[in-house]
Order: sequence, then structure tokens, then C-alpha cells
Amino acid sequence: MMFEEKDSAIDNPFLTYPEGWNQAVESLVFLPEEMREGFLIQFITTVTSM
Amino acid sequence: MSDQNIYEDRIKLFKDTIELKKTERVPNLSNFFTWKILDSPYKLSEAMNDYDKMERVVCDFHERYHFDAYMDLGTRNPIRVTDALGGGDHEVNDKTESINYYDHVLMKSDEYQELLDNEVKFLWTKVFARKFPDTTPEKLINAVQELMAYGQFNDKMTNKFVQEYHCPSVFNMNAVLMHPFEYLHNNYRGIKEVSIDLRKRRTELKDVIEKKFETQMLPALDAALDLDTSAYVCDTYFPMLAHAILSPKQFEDIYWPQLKQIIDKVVEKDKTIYIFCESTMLRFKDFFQDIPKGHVILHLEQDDIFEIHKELPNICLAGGMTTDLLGNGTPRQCIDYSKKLIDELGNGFIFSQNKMVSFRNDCARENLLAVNEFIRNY
Repeated sequence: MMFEEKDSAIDNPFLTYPEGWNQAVESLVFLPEEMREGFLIQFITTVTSM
Repeated sequence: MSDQNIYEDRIKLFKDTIELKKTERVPNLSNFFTWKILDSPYKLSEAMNDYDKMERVVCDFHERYHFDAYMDLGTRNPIRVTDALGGGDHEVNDKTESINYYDHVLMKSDEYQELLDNEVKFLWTKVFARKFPDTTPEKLINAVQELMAYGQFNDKMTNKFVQEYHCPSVFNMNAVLMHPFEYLHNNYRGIKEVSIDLRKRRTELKDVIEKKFETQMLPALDAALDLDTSAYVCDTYFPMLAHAILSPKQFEDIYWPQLKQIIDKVVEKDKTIYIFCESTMLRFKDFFQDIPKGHVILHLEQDDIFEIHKELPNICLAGGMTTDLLGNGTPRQCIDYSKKLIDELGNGFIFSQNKMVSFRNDCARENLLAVNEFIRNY
């Protein structure tokens, strides 16, 4: 099986915490405000498992 | 028989089988995955990227082979979601008719404490960031929309199979439980690295497992056990892959404490759990010997199912039919082996395939047609 180690040097201001994270949460405008963060946590858990 | 009766009879057939009761016939459960596409006019990439084509693939498959229920309704590899974020770890190859999933490392060996300290921060800035480094706000929204479209496709297929084909769903997607070690093994650390961690970072690894179990898995289990799952084959679903790299001693230390708690709660609530076991389970048989009958289904991949049946008469077994035989045998050989499975495994056996059937040579169409006709009438 192939093996790949991902580069950890991420230079993407969107993938920062808390600034980028908060921006990502706020971008989910189609969801009620109180649901956005829980949804995003579930989303990143799901897609990192795909 | 009315359509409603067909559906209810199938549910009862599965539930009676799980309770090891005598039934009129054995339930026939499809463990076919991407082979369905190879049995259709479409290429893998065509069907996997187009839900209308995938729907046709799955419906044609049912209309040709008539299983009682399906482990997969075309929703196994949601590559449209990960592609919206720049691509995941799947490589779909139409030429070789294969899908490869790369062992990958999204978390470094010295980052266990970061995961413990703030999991959301860690997932966003390390795990997600390494998997999808070019994510932009626009890509994120597109991927969320793709995930919703995937969910809608999943719901559509589930409803269609219940309403048009009278096939019950195997499990509720909200009742899928995954051991924390599976996340580390399958997704964050990868097979090679987590194997080293078992020896060099056992304490940190266990700390993560215990925290994730207490804070995430137990609440998910409680919620799953409160769902009305009477219309499903089983109440909860638990896929196992990471046990493949564990010795019985490591299994007892790393994996079993949480799995035992889950099974105990399932038994206490008089519910059922479908444990889908990739690799082998025989070396862990002692852990399952005292579980009361009627609660656990083990779907076996590489084990000798007759040997497991002898060791675990308290457990409903699924699987049995090998892809070696379906792919390379004759219809007569396949039927003879099907008869042997049913005759020797008796009550408490769900007829299915040992592997997630994926490759062209895993099965010949004439063999599957012959086996399923035999199962329906035996």
C-alpha cells in the first residue's frame, strides 16, 4: 500500500484558529446561527474520514 | 402477497435470524459494492460522479439479482464531496477498474496532546488542513452543498428500496458507531504510523481513545439506542478494520474495553449491533463467547465461517459465500457451497458475501444469478 506523509506547513489563512474557523462558521448562512458550529465540526470530522 | 407483507416478512426474517430462531429460508444480504458498476454499462468514474447513473446501476442490480437487503445502495464512495475540496485519498482508475485508498498521515506522532487539548482546533488547523490545504470559503460551501446532495441521494435510495422494492435498510446512518482507534488507524495516523504508536506512544494513544469515547462515542451510542430502528435490519452498526493490526493482548488493552461497553449497553437495551469485520476475527473469539444470544451479528471477511460458528454459537453470523468461488467457480460449485453454508450454519445465519465485492473478477454474473435463485427457493 502506498504511503504519503502530508506536508504540515500549511500556509492558508482560512485554515487558522480561531480566525479562519470563525469565518468558516459564519459562512454557513443557510443554517440557523446556533447550529453552524456543530454542523461544521461534524462536517470536518466526516470529510477527513472520507 | 401484498407489497407491505413482503417488506414486513423480510424485516421479520432478518430479526428472527439475528435471534437465532428457526426461519423458513435464509435471508440474502448483498455485500456488493463497486462490482455493481462493473456489471453495468458505466465506468466507475461515470457512476460515482453522477447520482442519476448510480441510481440506475443500483436499481438494475436489484432487478437482476433480487437480494433481500443491501449493505450499499451506491453511497460507498462520496468522491464528489472530497473533490469539491480539492480531492481526497481515493484514486478511481477506470482502466484497471479499481479504486485505491492511500494509507495517509494527517497527524504527526508528537501531536496527541494537541488533539487532547483542543480537538476542534487540531482537526481544523492540522488534520483538515493537511488533507485539504487549498480550502477557500467558496470551496467549503461547495463541499457542504455536495455533502447535502449526497445525503439526499442516500435518503432517496433508502426510500426507493423500501417503497418500490420492499427491501429494508440494514442500518440507520445515525446509528453508525466507530471505535476511536479506527479514526486514528484509518484516518489520522495511518496504518504504518499507528502500528508504531501502539508500542512507542501507548499511553497517549489510550488517552485519546478514552477521551473520544467518553465525550463523543458514549453520547452517540445513547442517542443511537434511543432511535426507533424497528424498520431496520439491526439497531446499530459498527465497522471494524483496525483490529487487523492488533494481537489479542493489544485488542484487550486498546479496543475491547470500549467495544465491551457498547455491547453491554446494546444487550441491556435489548437491541442489536451489526459488527462488520474486515480481516479476521478468530483470534478474538474468546471475547465474544459470553455475549447473550440475539444481540450481535458478526459479518466475517477472511475467517473460516464454519470454525467461528463452532466457537460462537451464541452469535448470528453473516457472510459465507466467497468471492473466490463466485469469481472462479462454476454455477454448480457455487450452489453446492451455498447449500453447505445453509445446511451447516443452520439458524442464525445471514447469507452474504465474505468480501465487499468490488473487482470484476470477484464474481461472474451467471454464478450470482444461480446462487440467488437457489437461495430464494431452498
